[in-house]
Order: sequence, then structure tokens, then C-alpha cells
Amino acid sequence: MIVSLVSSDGKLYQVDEAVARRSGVIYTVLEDIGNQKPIPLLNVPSHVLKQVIEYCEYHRTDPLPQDAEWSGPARAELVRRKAVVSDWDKKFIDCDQTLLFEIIQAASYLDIKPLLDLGCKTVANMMTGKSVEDIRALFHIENDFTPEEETAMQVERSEFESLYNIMIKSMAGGVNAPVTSLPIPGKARRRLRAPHY
Amino acid sequence: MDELGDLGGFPIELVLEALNNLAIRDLLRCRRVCKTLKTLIDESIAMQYRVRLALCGYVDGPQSLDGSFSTTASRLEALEAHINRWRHLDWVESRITLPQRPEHNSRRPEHLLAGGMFFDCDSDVLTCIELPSVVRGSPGRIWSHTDFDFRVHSFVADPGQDLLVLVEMLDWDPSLPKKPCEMLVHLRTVSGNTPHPRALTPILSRDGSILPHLLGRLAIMGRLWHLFIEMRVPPKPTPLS
Repeated sequence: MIVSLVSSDGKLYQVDEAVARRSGVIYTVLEDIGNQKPIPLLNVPSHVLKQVIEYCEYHRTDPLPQDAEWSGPARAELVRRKAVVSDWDKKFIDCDQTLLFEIIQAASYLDIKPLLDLGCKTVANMMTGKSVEDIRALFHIENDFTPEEETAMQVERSEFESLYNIMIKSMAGGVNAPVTSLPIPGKARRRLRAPHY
Repeated sequence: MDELGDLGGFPIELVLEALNNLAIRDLLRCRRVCKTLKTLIDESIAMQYRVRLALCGYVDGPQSLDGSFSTTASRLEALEAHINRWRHLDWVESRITLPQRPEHNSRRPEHLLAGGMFFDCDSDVLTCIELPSVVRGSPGRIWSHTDFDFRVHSFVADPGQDLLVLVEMLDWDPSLPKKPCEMLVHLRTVSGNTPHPRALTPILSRDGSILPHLLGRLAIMGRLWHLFIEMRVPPKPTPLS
């Protein structure tokens, strides 16, 4: 069965039903209304829809995420743990920032959770390890803090740092080890040295 | 949300979704990017819960059995209460009265605290106390096993596996504590004092005798059904020259 999809700029796309059903929204439409007319996707322009269809074509045989697995408070943790991104996905999502954001919004609108997670993970990767200024430059955000607010945040930061370091050190050395004299294993120490923070 | 630059067109849920993938330090660094992100992170319960957990060195736990703490908000609240209790040493008091012990026993009763349970063993009475817990959904329970066909010399338990390990000393005589005895180890359930269903043989025996007063600590190590019996070997008398 072929499903017809119409992008926001009026272009018609014809895809296999199995591909179209990767989207939770289209799945519901097909269940409720049936496959009679082309489905208009008012929020997805054609250059984004093309990409989304390419993703769904490639992942057409993946198991559909179970509702229970993808909702509730455990979800964020689950997403963080499923950190392994396939090479194809990496290549697919390696596009310019504007298109990436459009894909994320389309994935959210069309309810394609693995694609949404892939996009959000990619945005998070772009921000990981970057300094505050780098993040501002990345997303063209202006610094709207007053110097007083900046100072207050510096204090908060050093308070967090000292608490967090004590915690990490005491975990590395076991509960009874004295906090001050502990050698931190190499890996943890490298993680602690965050040059931009 | 024009202040968010390129992220400005994004619905808040999607920004939070992306932030949720960040490690804790990167997340806190984002707080310092601009006011909108700071407010977003400070007012998101999910983010605050993550920061709190990271500072305590805890990880998020599983769902509780009775369905409480099903939302992040209730978890955050419970975590805050937990932190405050430790900070101010503000304990919840609950008292449990142990059943009266028979007076004929000459040995000291043995106690064990394991897996949210407290055990009190007095040779022929084993009292099991399940401590009250919100997370396990237990209001606290107390029960006793008295139907032993032998005298319990020593014991250890792992409530997580419903495993009770009882040591029996054959022909043990309290008046002769240093007489060598043969030892039997019984593998039973905590809940019913019946042979443990996962034990290949519910009673383990050991060749040769041991000295009961030198029996050391017993411990169960995980799922491997290992029972460690630490024995202090009596020092050999060294001839004086």
C-alpha cells in the first residue's frame, strides 16, 4: 500500500505504508481515517519531509518503540544509556544547523521518537564540552546577564564544584576513605579537568 | 523567546529534551549562557532532580512497588526530604518490640540487619522484622519461625533472594563449648522457613568436625550462592626453647 503525503509547500510524496507508519501521527491517521486521501502535513516543508522520509525508509524494519518504554520518568535515563548511534544515523544527521533544527521539529510534530532522540542527542553533542561563550556563538544567543548576576553565578559554580568534587573523591575511595588524601583514578581525573567550565 | 537565538523557534519541551542529554557539568554551564536558559533549567523539575542526584552521588531508582514516587516531582520532593533528614539528623522514629525470649538459653542472641530486614535469632526462635519503608511499600511486618527441628547455632540471611542460611552443630553441648562438632548448613526461605526452591540440596554438610567456638563470620555474596565461612585456626603451640 502506498500512502500519499503533502508537504506544507504543496509537494506530493508517495511512500510505502510501512515507512509512513514510523510516524505516530500518520499511524493514528491511517488507523482512524484510513488511507483514502493524501495526508497534508502543514508544518513540514518539502526539503525537511524528504529527509524525514529518507530516515524512515532506512529504519522501516526497526521495531516500533513500545509506548511504555518511551514515556515516563525512566525515559530520559533510557535515552542517555542508548548512547550508541549507528554510522548511518551519524551521517544522516550530519547536516547544517538550520536543517537539523527543522528535522527535530518535524520529528516532534510527526511523532517519530527515535529521530527526535537522534536530533536532541546531536544538539547535546554540539554543546558538550563547550564554553559558555562557545555555546552563545553556536546558537547566536546574546549574553543578557548583568555583571552582578555573572558574579553571583561564579559563586554558585564554585560551590557546586567543591561539593561535587568532594562527592566524586569520596566515591572513588569508598565510604570510609578520608576525602582530602585520595588519589583519583586516571579516568575520573581526566573527566574532572574541564578546561572550559 | 527571541533571546534564545537559533533555539528561539523551538518549543520549550524540545529545548528541555536536548538539555536532558547533557552531562551534569554541561547542563550547569548552559545555565550561564542566558537568562532564558537559566530560568528554563532552574524551573524544570527534571533538571533540578538531576542536579540534586549528581550532588548526592545517587542514581535514580526503580519504580516503587505501590506506585508512589511515579513522577519526577514526587521523587525530587522525597530526595530533598532525605537530604534534609541527613543534614539535621532528623530521624523518623519507629519502635519495634521484640517478642519475649525464653529464659533457658545460655547463648547470646544473634542479630542481623540485611536488605531492609532485622533478624533476631535465639537458638530456637528466629524473629524476622521487615522494617517500614516507603520505597518498598511496606508498613513494616514482624513474624517468627519457631518450627526448627534442630538448634540454630548461627545464621545469615539475604531477604533479596528470600534466602536464610542456618548453621547447625550436631551434638553441640553448651557446657563443652570446645568439643569438636560436625556442621550442617540449611538453606531455607526467609518467608516460610521451608527448603529454598533454588537450592540444589537444601542441606549442605562438611567433612570432618570443626570447633564451634571458633566459627567466624558467615556471609552471602550475591547470586552465586557462595557461603563464606571464615574460621580462625587455633595457633599451634610453639615449643619453648
